[in-house]
Amino acid sequence: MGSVISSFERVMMPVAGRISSNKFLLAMRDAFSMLLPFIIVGSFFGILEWVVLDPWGTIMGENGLNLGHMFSGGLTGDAYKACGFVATMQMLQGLCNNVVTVGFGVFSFLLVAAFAYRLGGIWGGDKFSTALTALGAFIIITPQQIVGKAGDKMGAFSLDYFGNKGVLTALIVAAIASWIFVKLSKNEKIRIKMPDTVPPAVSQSFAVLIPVLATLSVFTIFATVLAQANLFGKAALNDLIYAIIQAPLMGFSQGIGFSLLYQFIVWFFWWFGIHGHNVTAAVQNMVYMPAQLANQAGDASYIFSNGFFEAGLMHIMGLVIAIFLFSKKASWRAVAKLGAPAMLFNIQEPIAFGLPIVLNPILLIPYILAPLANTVVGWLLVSSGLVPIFKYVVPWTMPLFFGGTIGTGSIMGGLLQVLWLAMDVCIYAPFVIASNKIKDTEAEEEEENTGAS
Amino acid sequence: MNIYLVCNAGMSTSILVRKMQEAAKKENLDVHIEAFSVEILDEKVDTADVVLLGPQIRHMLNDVKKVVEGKCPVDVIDMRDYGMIRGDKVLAAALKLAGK
Repeated sequence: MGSVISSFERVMMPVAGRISSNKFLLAMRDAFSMLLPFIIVGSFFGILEWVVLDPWGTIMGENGLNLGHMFSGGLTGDAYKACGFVATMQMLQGLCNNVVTVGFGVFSFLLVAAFAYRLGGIWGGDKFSTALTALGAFIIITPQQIVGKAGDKMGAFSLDYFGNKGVLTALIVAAIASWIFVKLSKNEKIRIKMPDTVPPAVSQSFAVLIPVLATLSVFTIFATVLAQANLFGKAALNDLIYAIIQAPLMGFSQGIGFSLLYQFIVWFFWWFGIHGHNVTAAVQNMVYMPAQLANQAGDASYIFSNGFFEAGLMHIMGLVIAIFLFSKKASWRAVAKLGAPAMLFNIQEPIAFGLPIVLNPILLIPYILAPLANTVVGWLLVSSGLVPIFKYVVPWTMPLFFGGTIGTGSIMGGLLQVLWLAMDVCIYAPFVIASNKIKDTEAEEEEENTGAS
Repeated sequence: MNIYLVCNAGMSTSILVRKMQEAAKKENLDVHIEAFSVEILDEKVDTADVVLLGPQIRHMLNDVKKVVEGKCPVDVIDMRDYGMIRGDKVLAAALKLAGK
């Protein structure tokens, strides 16, 4: 067994290393993490808007806590609809929605800036100029007119192009624009040089003049050609990329097969002590993140989203409980006690490396089986409509029950996590009991001593 | 001296940091210990005396070494010490790396 594992590890370490050190993927991951605060703030206001303030929502509505009935002085039906309280709530909802737009409505727009900023850094260009140029390119390929109901054309942007549907377009445009811009701005021959007496800020703006001109021109020509070609009946790049790449990709990633494969890979890497989520970040960012954004925006109901998988991080808690209930090993009980507080916030490392789960042949099966079983059960319950989809973004460190409840905006989401926990305890229990019979190695004896001190 | 611990998000290493600080206080050592995400290492690296990686991102050791450019020692934290949150042992390892 030992040699099998070590030969496996010899294969997996370089694979993980190569994926993680890919500059391109690294910049993408950094860009997404730069935007995470905006998504979480946007989500917070989304919860305020749709759960707390909505006159017909969970808190105010008559199907929920019905506080609106009380605040409006006992009004119901049409009288409630027309009263001042409801008008105030709707006004506040509108204000909240403005913040939601920052985190979700224009997410792709922010992504262009963040990704280009990081790529500029990697390729050695001026970061901020790269970000601005990429934003310019993104605006150029975005339709700048919308057609009104009466068929009249107005100068305006449709938010559709800036939200979750534009994620892939944003990544592609930012990458190409940054590459052209940085390559050209490093070329000395086309740099406009200013005398030394000119302030640096001014000479910098002249230095990038030609690269900006060239980059934006390339995109203008490209957008014109594309509009004339009208491929698949789509005149705009955003629509084309969404139709031929992003939509099929999203559909494919929503299959139970793909989702199970994703979970399997993540936890298999973790079993080797390699950060599985770090290795698979590209998949997460390209499909499960946009799925989450689409859910929040109300554009779609994707079962498998970031929120769904992050809610499932708690499965190791099942192991902790199984150890408390069934383990006769002092060393295991000590580690479980040590790691339980962190695990409450879905931080599994103390358990994973302390027990250890990592490279432990007995725990390999439940460690992978538990998240897979959770995924299947979650998939069944969400698709049957019993549990709402995971809509709101919660930090992944949110304790179980609370994470699911806030993420779905319903207590059913929290109960799903409790059900998962019960399943996980049952899945881990036989393996914990089996390990009672295995004699402690010397290393673990030493553990017992330090654990007891 | 500055001891920096990096992991994917800086969450799990921050637990270890607290234990290491306790251990340092016990021995009356004047060290600054901090945990953060590997993504922001490039901004912090100039002030580092030792950089330690969480074992879960040990596959990124070569990247981290590239960022550090030999300015200070870099190593991966021992898995068991990491899991058992043995602040004293990790601190001792860090000091040994720094040659102090």
